[in-house]
Parts: sequence; structure tokens; C-alpha cells
Amino acid sequence: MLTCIAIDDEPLALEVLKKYIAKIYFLDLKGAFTDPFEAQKLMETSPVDILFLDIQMPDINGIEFSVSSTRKIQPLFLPPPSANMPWKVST
Amino acid sequence: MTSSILKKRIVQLIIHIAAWVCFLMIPFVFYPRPRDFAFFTERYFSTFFILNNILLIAFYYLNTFLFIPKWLDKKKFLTYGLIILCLLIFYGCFPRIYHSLFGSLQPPPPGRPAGRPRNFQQPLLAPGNIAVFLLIFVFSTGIKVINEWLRSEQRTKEIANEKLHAELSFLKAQINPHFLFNTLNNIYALASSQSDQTAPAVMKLSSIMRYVLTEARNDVVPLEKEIQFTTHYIELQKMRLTDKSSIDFTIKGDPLGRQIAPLLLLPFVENAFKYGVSTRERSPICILLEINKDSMYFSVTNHKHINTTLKMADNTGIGIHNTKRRLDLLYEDRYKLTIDDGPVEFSVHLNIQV
Repeated sequence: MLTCIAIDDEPLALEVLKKYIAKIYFLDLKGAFTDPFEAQKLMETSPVDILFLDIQMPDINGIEFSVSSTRKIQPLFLPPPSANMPWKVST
Repeated sequence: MTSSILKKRIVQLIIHIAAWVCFLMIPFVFYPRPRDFAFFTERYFSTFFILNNILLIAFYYLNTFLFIPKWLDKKKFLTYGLIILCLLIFYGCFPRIYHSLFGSLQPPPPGRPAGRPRNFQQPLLAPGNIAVFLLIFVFSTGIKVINEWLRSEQRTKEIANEKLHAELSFLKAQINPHFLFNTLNNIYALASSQSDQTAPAVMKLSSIMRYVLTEARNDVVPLEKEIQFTTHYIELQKMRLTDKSSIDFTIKGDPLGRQIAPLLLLPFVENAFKYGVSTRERSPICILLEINKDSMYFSVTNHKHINTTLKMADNTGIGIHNTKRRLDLLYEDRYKLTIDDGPVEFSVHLNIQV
């Protein structure tokens, strides 16, 4: 079982993401947030294995967020829906 | 910049002087032979020549800089026509008036005492003077009219260009990557959970697309349509927001029968959604449209949030800058735009006479 957190500033997009995660049996969603700083609080107390992270968010850019708060885990960036590329894992 | 303007002015001045010198030379060049300009040394003739031409030059500049802007440009054709007619009659009579005032300057013919006008009558209206006056009138007014026509032609072209640009920038910058795909993504989310909101959201998106692709080509659109478009846009944007953000869109007054340039309000609304939204702090956006008897007031107020995403691909204020340009072209001095860029709040106030 892998633990994970999902972050997306748009509530509806987050719902879709939650649904997808629920479909994968080895993923255990610890929390879903529209505010990255809320997620950070949770990660400080209980670290997770995977972070599903939006890039374009109003308060902080997803890449910056991952650099500042996720040293031990590998963030999985969610490209914006307009980006013409398949989703992939970046390290 | 200023030196090039100065240069242009100097060139203009030289052209004017040269033109007047040429003009004043005409009677001398075409004077019938044998040429005997002796009479010109007589004070009676030389003073007349100088005064007559000073009046003509004065009329040219008065017409260009005073009469035309004051009456002709403001479509007061009757006043303008009357003024020109009065001056024409005065100028036509000028030789007669001059003669009755300064006739005594004429050299006495042999055998007559000096100091009394010769028994020679100038015609009441001098045809030469009338012809020259009309020539100058046609010339000065003609130049002005042609200039005005060229300028309005240029402006029409610029307005068309700006509108095309606004249309393109909306399609490119907004609908294409961010707004359109995000909205479609949200509609997908709604549909996948079989939400009742799916159908209205699709309807709103389609109405927005229709407005941009068809209505926005017109010079002006009914205000209700612009309001409907803006409302739909705001409602679609709302789907993307968390409960930290709140949108207050108020419309006061009756938009029926009023007209406005299309897509004029959108950049200000867009700007608020771009910079005034946060998932962390409370972020209210206040939009107000007040329709009065002969004017319209539109204001957008939002909190400012530090936005790191936009620092990457920054296009701060380009939308608002373009709109300002459009306002300048479309409404000239019939609008007032105030941008209040405070430490916490950002607000725009737009007043248009429509």
C-alpha cells in the first residue's frame, strides 16, 4: 500500500482526481486539498509516499511547492488540462 | 522625440513662408508688359497692397485655427457660413473703404491741390478681391477637410485593428489554453459525477463561444448581451473556485436599449480572477455595474495575492492596457478609467457615457 495526498486548487478537478485514486487498489489517499499549505501541515505530521500535485495554482506554483516541502517523496505533477502531453512521473 | 517635432514645425514654417511669398509674387509675375512698377513706390498703392494682403493672410490663419475648430468642426454650418459671408463682403468692399479713408494719400494729378481724393471711384465690390478671398477660403478649408478625412479614415482602420486584436487575444490567451480547457475539464468532472449542473455549464460555455465568435465582430452590441456574456463567464469561473473566494456581481439600472462595444468589460473581470483568487486566504471579488440615464459605471474590486504561477509567464496588465487603448479609440474623451492599485486591494473604476 502506498500513501498519497492530492492537491489541486480547483475543487471539481480534485474530485476527479480523488475518483481516479480510489480506483487504484494500492493507493491510500490520506487527504485531498485545494490549499497546498493545508497539505503541508498534514505532511509534516505524517509523511506520504506520493504527492499528486497541480502545477498552476493561485498561491504557489506546484513545482516551487514540491521543492520547498517534499524532499523525501516523489511528486507526481499534473499537467494542466491544456497541455498536450501524457501524464508522466517526474523526479 | 521633441527635437523631431521641432524639426517638423520648422519645416512647416518654411513651407508656409515660401507659399505666401509665391502667392504674393503672382501679381508681379503676371503684370502686363511693359512692366512699370513705379506706381508701387507711391504710398497710396504700397500701403493698399500691404494691408490688403495682411488681411488675406490673417483670414487664412483665423479660418484654420479659429473659425474651423470653433464652428465648422462642431457642425455649426450656419454660423460658419455667415461669418465667412460677412468677411467676404468686407474684403470685397475693402478697396472702396481704403479709398475713402486714405484716398488723400494719392498723388494729386497735375493741376489739382493735394490732400483731396481724386474723383475716382473704386467699385463697391472689387471682383479681384472676391476671387482671391474665395481662393484662400477654398484652400484653407479644403486642407482642413482633407486632413480631417484622412484622420478619420486612419482612426476607422485603427479601431478595426484593435478589435481584431482584442478578439484574437481573447481567443488565444483566454479561451484557448486556460479558460476553455479548464472549463471543459470542470464540465468533465461534473458529467462524470452525473451532476445536474452539467447541462447548464455546457450551455453557458456554448453561449460564451457564440458571443465571442459572432457578436464580438460588431462595433457595438446591446448592453444586455454583454452583461449576459459577462455573467456566464463569471458563473463558469466560479466552478473553479473554492469557498475561500466569493463573487459578488451586482447590476443596477436597466440595460434595455443601451449599447456598448463588445468584450469591453471582460478584461477587468479576467484580471480579478487572475490576481484576486486564493485557496489560502479569503478572497472576495466585487463587481458592480450601474446603468444611469446617460452613463454607465463599472467597477471591479479584488484582494491582491502573491501569485507565483503568473510570475513565470507574466503578462501583467496587457489585457487592461489593450482595453485602455480600445477605450481611447472608441470613446475618446467620453470615458474615465481609474485604477486604484492599493497595498491590499486592487480596483478599477470605469465610467462611460453611453
